[in-house]
Amino acid sequence: MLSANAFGQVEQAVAHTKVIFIYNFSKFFEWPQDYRQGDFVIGVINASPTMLTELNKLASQKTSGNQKFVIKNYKSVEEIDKCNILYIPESSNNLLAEVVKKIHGASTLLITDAEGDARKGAAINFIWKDNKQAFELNKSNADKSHLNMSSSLKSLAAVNIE
Amino acid sequence: MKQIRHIFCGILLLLSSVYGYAQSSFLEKAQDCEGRHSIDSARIFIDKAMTDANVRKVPEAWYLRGYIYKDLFKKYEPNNLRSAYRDTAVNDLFISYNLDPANKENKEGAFGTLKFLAATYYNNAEMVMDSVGFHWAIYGYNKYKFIMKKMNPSENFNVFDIRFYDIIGNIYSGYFFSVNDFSKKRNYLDSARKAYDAVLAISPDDYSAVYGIGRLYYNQAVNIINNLPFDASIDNVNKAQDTCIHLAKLSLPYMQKAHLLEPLKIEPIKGLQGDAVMLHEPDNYKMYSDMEKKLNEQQAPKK
Repeated sequence: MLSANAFGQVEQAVAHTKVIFIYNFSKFFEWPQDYRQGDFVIGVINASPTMLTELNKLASQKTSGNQKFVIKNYKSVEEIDKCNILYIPESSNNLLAEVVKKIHGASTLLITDAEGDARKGAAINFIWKDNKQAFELNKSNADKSHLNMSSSLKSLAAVNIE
Repeated sequence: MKQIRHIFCGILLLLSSVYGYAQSSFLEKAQDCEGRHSIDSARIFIDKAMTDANVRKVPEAWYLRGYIYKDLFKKYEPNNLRSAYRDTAVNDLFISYNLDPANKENKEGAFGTLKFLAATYYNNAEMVMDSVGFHWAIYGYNKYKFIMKKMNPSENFNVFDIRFYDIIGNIYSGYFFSVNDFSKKRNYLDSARKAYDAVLAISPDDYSAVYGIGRLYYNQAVNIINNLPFDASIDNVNKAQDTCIHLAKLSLPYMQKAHLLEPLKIEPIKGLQGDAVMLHEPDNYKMYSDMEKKLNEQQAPKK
């Protein structure tokens, strides 16, 4: 009566929600001049096919100012190069410490998806609050990456870590 | 036809002596043509006869006209749900019965023909019971029930109703899943829900209806999120998530019941997994995922 595909849509819904958040974040931060030229790169480490599809859909529909979105799916930490946003899915959370070391000094907005990650180097960490997808914000981690954050993002965060 | 002749044995004599020769002659000719299967001529004569007010008081005359119109329907429009011949036949046969309900012979004849006509409505409804003709299917089915109920007010339609409204619910669900327009989606959801509720009012444990409702709310929840534009504000995403949670909570008891009714079916288990994702219940998600895995292993063909 109902194809498995229809139930697969719930996975898409979860990924779609996260990508909408990520797109919103791209508007709440200002990157240094050298990151505002060329493509606006969103990197992911070992993205699921669904997440990758949603990110590519975003890239085909939207831009960041006059920068084109480019999606990069890194298979390992070594592969990571210059990117504006780097998202580590929960399944790759074990790589966080290594990633933080790798992007040290770069203006990369690090977004994670596991409990406690905002205290381990991420500027933004996806969490669940009241059964809803939400996020916690660590401004000092964003500052370390030389990113200017709009003050209004604080009020949208479920948790602010100083 | 034998019955028609029998009913008319005395009536023609009576009509000619009381109401005049001309009208009884028309009736006689109509009956004669009907007997010879000259339906079109029979129609001309019976319509002429029925213009007389006195003839219109005679149950047997209405019966004859109903019978002739039934044959016109059979000859010209057997697959037309809106056949005016059939509507006329039904109407005339009920008039015939109502003019003399105590007349056993007339009642038997009229009801026999009415049962046949009711069955043709049902059969026509079945023929168009798909995503295109379902409005007419509902029309035909209601006509069938109307006739049968008028003949026997205590007639029980439960088995037919369950089958019919299950199918209608699935058709509306199909529309709901396939359209993108949100207001249309809402209407189809409401119509499907109504059809499934009609089934559950008769049979609260009908798997198809229980699962159908759970599936509708589940899909509506998922659709709301998946249709959000990428530039939706975080506030709007939060509102959409609230709606999604509300719908998942509506879906959940139906999916749980569907699973209880049919524990070996995979669909409700998948639905329960989806509801668990939307309600962010990781333990339940794991439980139903394990259940699905186990069931798939059990049902896999043995090597």
